[in-house]
Amino acid sequence: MKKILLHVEGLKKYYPVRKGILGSKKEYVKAVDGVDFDVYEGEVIGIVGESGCGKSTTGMLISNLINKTSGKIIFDGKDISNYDNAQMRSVRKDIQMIFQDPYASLNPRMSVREIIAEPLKIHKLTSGKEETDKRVVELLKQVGLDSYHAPRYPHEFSGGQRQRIGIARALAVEPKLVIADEPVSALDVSIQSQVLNLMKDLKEKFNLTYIFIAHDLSVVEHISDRIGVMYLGNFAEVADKKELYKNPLHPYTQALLSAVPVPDPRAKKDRIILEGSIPSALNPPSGCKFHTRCNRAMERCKVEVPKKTVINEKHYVYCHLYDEKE
Amino acid sequence: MKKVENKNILEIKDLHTYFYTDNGIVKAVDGVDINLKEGSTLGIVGESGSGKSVTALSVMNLLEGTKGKIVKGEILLDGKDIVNISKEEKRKLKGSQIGMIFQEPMTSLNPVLKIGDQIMEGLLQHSDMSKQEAKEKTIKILEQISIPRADKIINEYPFQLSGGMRQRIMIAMALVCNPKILIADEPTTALDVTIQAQILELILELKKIIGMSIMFITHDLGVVAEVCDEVVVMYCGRVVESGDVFTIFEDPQHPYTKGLLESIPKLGVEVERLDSIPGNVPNPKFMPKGCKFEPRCKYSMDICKEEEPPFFTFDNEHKSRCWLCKKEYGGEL
Repeated sequence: MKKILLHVEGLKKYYPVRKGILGSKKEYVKAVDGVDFDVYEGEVIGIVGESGCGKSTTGMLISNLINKTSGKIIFDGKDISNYDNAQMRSVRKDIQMIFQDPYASLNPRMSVREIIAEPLKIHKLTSGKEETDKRVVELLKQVGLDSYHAPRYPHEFSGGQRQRIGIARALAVEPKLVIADEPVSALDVSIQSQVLNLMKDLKEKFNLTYIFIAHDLSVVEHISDRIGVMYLGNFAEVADKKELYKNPLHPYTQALLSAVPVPDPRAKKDRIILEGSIPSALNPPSGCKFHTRCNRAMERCKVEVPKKTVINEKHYVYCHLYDEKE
Repeated sequence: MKKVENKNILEIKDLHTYFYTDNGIVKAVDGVDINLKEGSTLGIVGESGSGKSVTALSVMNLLEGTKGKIVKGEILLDGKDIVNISKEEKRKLKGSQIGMIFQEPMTSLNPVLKIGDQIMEGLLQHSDMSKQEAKEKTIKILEQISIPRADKIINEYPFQLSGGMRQRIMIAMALVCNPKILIADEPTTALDVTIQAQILELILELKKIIGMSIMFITHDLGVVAEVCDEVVVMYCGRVVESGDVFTIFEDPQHPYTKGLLESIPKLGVEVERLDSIPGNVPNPKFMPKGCKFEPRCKYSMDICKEEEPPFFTFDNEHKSRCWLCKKEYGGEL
């Protein structure tokens, strides 16, 4: 068994919303509602789901960019759940993020050199301008850019190149875990494949671990070893990617897989069309949150929250259809 | 997805649409020929900046107020020119003959107008229906596109609806006057996959009922494979390849089409590395002299740098703009 790099237990993020006269009534948007999972060293775990399922919030909670409501995060053997900002700083060197929108996540007033040198300076990884510059160029080359790009500013680059800069910045501190939140969804297909290939190469080269968050199942399936499917703040199913594709158990996973358009005009389409859209996380359905759209919903799904059912070592599902088999 | 042998309902001939910006002329559409056959669904594929949306805007005559202008070319609707006609005539076409749905339903709907009023506007403009009749028709079309509590929704505002519902409202607006052509510009790009599946299903169903022809603009080849009969691939303001959907997916004859098809990850198919097209789309101000795809093409030859290839035609109206398709360079990709 591989080493567990990250262990997440009961992770929750509730956003309070005030309602009623003078905000007397307090309700919560349950963005992430009790998530458990492990990330093994050297693997790529993909998290997929539709908008509002809590996949990005999960990523931001792990990197502590937002404060969690409750839950436990153990990274590299250390319980970082209650770390304050100062303590977090040392951990941030090991957990880096790549964001979706390379236009918004790079400071337009900083040159590429400054952007990539900033983490090096903060974490005191290089000393002196010369060494820093050398390292910046090295990083640029690793992501397929060149030294002459260093003095330029973000607006001078295309979307794909900007995402490369974002990757170089994340890699500057030699992280152990990289959380990539929709890193290719803003890019055109031909550029998307370039960036995916780059991320794969870098992972091999530096023995990185990725949490790859995306809504595009084909992309996630391509890059990940394991995939977790999220729905309304919880995991519905987690499995090895091959198994998830060949033997999806949760009705939501099945519907999601069947909804992906296949780039083959002769492909057979026995599609499960889900009714309606994702319910609001403010008043999520009782019991299994998916029961309102599920084509196999039973009476108990409306009242009872499904527990984790282990199918095999790498495959578990949260659905009442399977929890009697034990 | 059967072969359609009908007349052309829309013909775009040698269309040039340029934008006169402060930094010079951007040739967004530079000589495009597209034929939309009656009753068929035509997919226009291409990456950002390929000119696919500008082509649609040119057809819809929505360039007014921008720096864009049709400088050359013809657009024929049912055989009649729609570029050089009066403003009044153009206005009559919009909505009644050609409907359009856009990518971002929230920005395309008026946030301060009730949904019912927005759908009815077309009816009141283009027919002599009374307000009451228009209202009834609106409720009917909303029910047709399976919007629950249609009689209540017409008094609500766009912000009260989800993304998928808003796109349904856009579709209702575009189709309320039974247009001959529907132009759908990335209609499902902003939607989640399960909602996308619903909307695609809906568009195809309505197509059967109304019998319209569809121009479907998208960057998603999966969507194209699913809904289109014919495909046009655009690159840098030009059509580089066109043909029926099976030919384009199974026997692409342009390196760009081939590259696009190979660069998308496919569900259930495991590959170590994706084939990717190197480089970026060229800056419109510094277009290569010859073939516009030459700098990124792995088959590049000397002639490609010098001279822009014309169309070479294969069976079944399959056309490709690549020198390799010329007999003396091999005749095919």
